[in-house]
Amino acid sequence: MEPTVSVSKGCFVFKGKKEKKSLDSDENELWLTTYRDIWSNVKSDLDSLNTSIYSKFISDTVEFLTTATRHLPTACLLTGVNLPDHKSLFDLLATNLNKSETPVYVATLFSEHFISVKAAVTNMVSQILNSNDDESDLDESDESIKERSVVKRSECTMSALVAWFEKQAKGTRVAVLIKDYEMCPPNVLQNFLLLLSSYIDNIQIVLAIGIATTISNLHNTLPHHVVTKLHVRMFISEASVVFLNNIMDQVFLKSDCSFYLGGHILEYVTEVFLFYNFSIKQFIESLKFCLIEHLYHKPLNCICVAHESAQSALFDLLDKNTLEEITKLRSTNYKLKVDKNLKGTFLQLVKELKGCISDFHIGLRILKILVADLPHSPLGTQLREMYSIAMKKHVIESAEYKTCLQLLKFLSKDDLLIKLNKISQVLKELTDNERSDTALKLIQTYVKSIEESSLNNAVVEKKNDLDEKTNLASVSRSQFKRKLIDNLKHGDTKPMTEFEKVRSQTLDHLTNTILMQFLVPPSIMPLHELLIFDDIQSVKRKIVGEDRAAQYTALVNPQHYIDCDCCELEFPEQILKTMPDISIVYKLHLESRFNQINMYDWLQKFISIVSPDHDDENNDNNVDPVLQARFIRAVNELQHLGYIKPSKYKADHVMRLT
Amino acid sequence: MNQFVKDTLNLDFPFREAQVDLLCNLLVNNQSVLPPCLFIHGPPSSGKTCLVTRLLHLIGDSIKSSIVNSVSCYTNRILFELILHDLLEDTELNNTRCDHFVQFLNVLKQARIQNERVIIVLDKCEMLEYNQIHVLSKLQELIKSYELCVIFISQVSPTIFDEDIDFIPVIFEQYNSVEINEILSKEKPKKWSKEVYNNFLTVFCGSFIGNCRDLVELKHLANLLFTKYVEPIKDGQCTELNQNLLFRKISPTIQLLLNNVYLATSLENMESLNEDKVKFEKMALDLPYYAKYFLIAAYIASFNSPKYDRQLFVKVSNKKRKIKPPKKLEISTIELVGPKIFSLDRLLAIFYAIIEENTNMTANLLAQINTLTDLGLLIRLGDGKLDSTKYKCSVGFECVNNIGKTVKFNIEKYLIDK
Repeated sequence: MEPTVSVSKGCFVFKGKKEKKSLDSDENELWLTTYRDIWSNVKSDLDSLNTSIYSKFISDTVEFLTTATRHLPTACLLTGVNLPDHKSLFDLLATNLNKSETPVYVATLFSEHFISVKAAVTNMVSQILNSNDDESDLDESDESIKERSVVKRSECTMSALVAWFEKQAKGTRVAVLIKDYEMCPPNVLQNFLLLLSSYIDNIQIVLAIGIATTISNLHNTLPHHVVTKLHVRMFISEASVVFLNNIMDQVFLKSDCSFYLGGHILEYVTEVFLFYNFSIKQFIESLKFCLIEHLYHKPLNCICVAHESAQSALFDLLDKNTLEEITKLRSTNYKLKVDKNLKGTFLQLVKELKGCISDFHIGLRILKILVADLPHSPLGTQLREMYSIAMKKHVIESAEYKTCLQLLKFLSKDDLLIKLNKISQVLKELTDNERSDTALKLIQTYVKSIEESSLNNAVVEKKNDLDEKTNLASVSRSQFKRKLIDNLKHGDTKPMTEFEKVRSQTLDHLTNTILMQFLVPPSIMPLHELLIFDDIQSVKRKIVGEDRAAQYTALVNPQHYIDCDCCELEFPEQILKTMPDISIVYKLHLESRFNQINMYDWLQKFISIVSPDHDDENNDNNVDPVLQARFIRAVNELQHLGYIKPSKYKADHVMRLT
Repeated sequence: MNQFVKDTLNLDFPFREAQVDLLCNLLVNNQSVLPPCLFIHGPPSSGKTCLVTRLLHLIGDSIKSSIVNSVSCYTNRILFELILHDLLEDTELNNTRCDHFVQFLNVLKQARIQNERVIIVLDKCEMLEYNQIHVLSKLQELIKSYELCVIFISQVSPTIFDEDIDFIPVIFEQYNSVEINEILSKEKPKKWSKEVYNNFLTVFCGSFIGNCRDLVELKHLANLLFTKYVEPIKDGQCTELNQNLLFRKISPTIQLLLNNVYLATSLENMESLNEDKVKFEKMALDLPYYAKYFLIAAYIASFNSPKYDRQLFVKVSNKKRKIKPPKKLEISTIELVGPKIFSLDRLLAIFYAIIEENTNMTANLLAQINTLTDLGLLIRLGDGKLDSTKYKCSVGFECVNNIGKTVKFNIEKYLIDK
C-alpha cells in the first residue's frame, strides 16, 4: 500500500485489491450461483404476492387521496404493530401515488423529522421541491435541472411551496405521508397539522398517517380543534398473520420452490414471528439466512437442488472427501459405499426423494381440504401447521389425525361431497403423475358411491338377537346386571344408515390408501438432509440473538470465545489468574451476597487472585498501582455494561444491578 | 360608508351586532385615528376570523391590510416576511432578509408606511412567542403612525398574556341555542320545504346542543343527519309531517352520532362508522404473543404494590400458587390512583412468573418492551440509560382485560386492591 501524504492523523480507506480478487473467484462458486437462482425465484414470487395482497388497500388509499377534497383529506392507515414492515408499505404507497393519474408529489416524514415544526416543514418542502418530475424537465437545459433539484434547506418554507405550487398543472396534489404516528411528539404534530390546514386554500394537500395501534389513539392525542380540520378516513390493512399464511402457502410450501424447509425450522421461524414481532421482513430474512446456511460450502446440497440434467456433470466434479461425506449420512443407514455405483444410486435416491416431496405436497393439500375446517381444528387450520406436523412424522399415525377422522365421520353428505370434489379438483390440476391419476380415479368412485347411498335405508346389522336374549338368563346377579348395561348400550346405537356406512368406509379407505401413500414424510427418506433444511441448532442463535446469555458466557467462561489453552474451567465457579480482568472482577462480584459491594474488599480479592504471592504484611495499605489500575478499569467496564452502578448511600460501595 | 359596511356584515353574521358596531366604529371611520391594538377573543367557530376578514375585504380600498395565521410563523423571519409581503410592493421588498424586529421596523419606515392606513391581523396569536406579541402590540408607537392597527385574534382569553399590553378587547360570545337554530336554518337544502327542515332542526338541536356548540361541527353533523332523516320520506314510508315516526326512525342514528361528536368528521357516512368500529376493535389486540404478556405484566406491575408480589408469584412448596381468592374487585379504586412506576427488573420478573412456557431472554424479547414504548402502550421514564429505566403502563383495564382474554389469562385474579 502506498503511504499517505496527509500530515494530519486520520483514517484512510484503501480499497483492497486482494479482497476483490477473492470475491471474484467466489462469484462462480456453485453454492453462490445456486443460492442466487433459488432466492431470485423466491424473491419474485414474494414481490408479486406482496403487491397482490396490498393491492386493494393501496388502491383504495390512493383513490381516496386523489379524489377527496373536503377539509384536509387524511387517510389513517391502520397497519398493525409490525413496525419494521411499515417502510416497505409506505414506499409502495408512494410509488403508487406517483403513478396515479392526477399528478401527486409525495413527501414521506418519519418521527425523527418531528423535532420541531420547522424541521418537519423544511423536510417536507425540500422533498417535494427536489423531486424531479422527469417529463417536464426533459426539454429544459441541464443547468436548470440542477438549479431545481437543489433548493437550499433554508429556503424550504411554506411560501416557497405555495409559489412552486402555483406553477404546477391544475389538479396537482401534495401528499404528505407520516409514517409512525405514535412516535411523533403530539404537540409538534398538532401544530404541523394546523399549519397544513391553514394552507388548504392555496395548496391541495392530502395526508396519510400510519397508525400502528388504534384509531382512538388519534382522537386521544389530537385536540378536537385539530381533528375537526381533518377529513379522516380509515384504511385497515390485513393482519400480518394473513401475510404469513399467504407467504407460506404460495411461496415456500410449494413443490416448485426448490428450498425445502424442515418441520422444526418452520415451527421455529413462525414462532419467532407470532411470539415476538409480527415482522414479515425479519421472517423472510431469517429464511434467507437458512437458505445460505443450507448451501454455503455444501456442494452436495447444491447438486440435489440442481436440475436433473446437470446433476451428473456436477457430481463428477466432487472430490473424494465429499464423496466420503455421502456415505456418512445418517439417513442412508451407512449402506452406501464409495464405489462405481455410488453416483447412480445417489442420483436415483435424490430423484426418489424429490418425487416423495412433490407427493407430500399433494397429500398436504388434500389433508388441508379435509381437516382445516373441523371444530377445534386438531391439526391446525393452516398449511404451515400441518406441514410441520407431517414433516416430523407420518401424520396418519398421529393422535391428532385420529380425532380428525372421528370428526370427519360426522360430516353430512353435502359437506363430504364438497370436500371430495375439491380434492378431485386439486388432483385434476396435476399432470404427469401416475399416483395422482389413480388417486383421482379412486376419489371419483368415492363420490359416486356416496352420491348413490341413501340417507334413510338402515343397513341390516348382523346382530344375534337370539343369542343375546338367551344370554339374559344368566346365572349370577352381577353378570346379569352387566349384560343389561351392555344391551342398553347396544340399544342406544341406532342402526347405521347406508350413507353412514359408506361414509365410514370411504374415509377409512381414503386414509389408508391415498393419504398413507402421499403423506410419507420426506424426512424419513434417505439423503433427506441434503435437500431439506432442518438444522435448527445451527441457526437458532443466529436468528434470534441472546445477548445476555452471550455476555454471561463470555464473562464466566472466557475460553468459550478466546479459545485459549490456559483458561479451561474444571467447574463453572472457578476463577483463574489467567482470565481477562473483567471476567475475574465479574466472577468476584457474583460471589457477593449483598446488593452493595464494598470496593476495597473487592479489590483485595482481586489482588489475591491475580498475584497470590504478594505478602500481606508488607503492603497492608499500599496496593500495587498497576493492579489497582487494572482493577478500576475492569470495574469501569462492568459499569459500562450495566452490571453495577455507583451507590448513592455509601461512597466506597457500588450497587449490583443483576 | 360606515352604515353600508355595518348592514352587509349584519346580514352575513347574524347575532353579532355589538361586535360589528364596535369594530366598524373603531376601524372604518376614514378620518379618525386607529386604535393601536385590538384583541378579539371568543370560543371556536364564533365567527372571529371570518368577520374580520370580511370587514377588511369591504373596506379594502381605503386601507392596506395583512392577515397572517400565526400557526405558520414558526420563525421570526417567516412572520415578518409574510406581513411585509402583504403590505409592500415587490419593488420595495428587494428580497431583503428580515430576521429581527428592528429590520422589520426599518423596512416599514423606509417604505413610508406612516402615510397609509394599515391593519395587521394576527390570527391564532397564542401560537406566537410572548415577546413577539408584546412588541407587535406596541407597533403603532414604534413606527410613529396613528393609522396603524394590530388585531390579535385568539380563542384564549387575553388575561393569560402579560398585563402591560394595552388593547381594546372585543369579545365574541358563544351563540346560544336559539341563535344556533336560526343560523343552521340558513343552510336549508333547496329541495326541501322550510317546515321539514325546521322540524328536523328542532330534533337536531335538542339532541346535540348539550354536547357540542361548535358551529362548524354542528353544520357538518346536521348535513350528515339530514340525509338520513329524509330517507323515510323519500321512500314514501312516511309523510313529511309525521314528526313522531320520523323521530323514531332517526333516533338510533342520533345516539350513534352523539358518541362520535368531534370524531364524526372522520367518517364518510353512518355505514362506514358501524363497520369500522367492529373492525378496529379486532385490530386493537393484534400484538405478538409475548408483547401481550408484557403488557399484562406491566399492568400488574403498575397497579399492584410491590409488597404483594411475593404473595402472588412465589410458588409455594406444594406447587400451588398462593393466590388470594378473587374477591370482588373494585377496579375503579385502583384505576383512580393511576399507574405506578416500576422498574425493568420487576417487569421481567412478573413476566416470567405469569408466562407458562420457558423462554430465553433473547434480544428480540427485550426489543418488545421498546416496541411497546414506541407504540405508546408503556411510558418510559428516566433518561433511558441502562441503570435507571423505569416504566409506567398507560393502557386501561378494559384493554388489558381484552388482551388477557385472547391468551386465556385471567388478570383479575392477579389484581389486589388494598
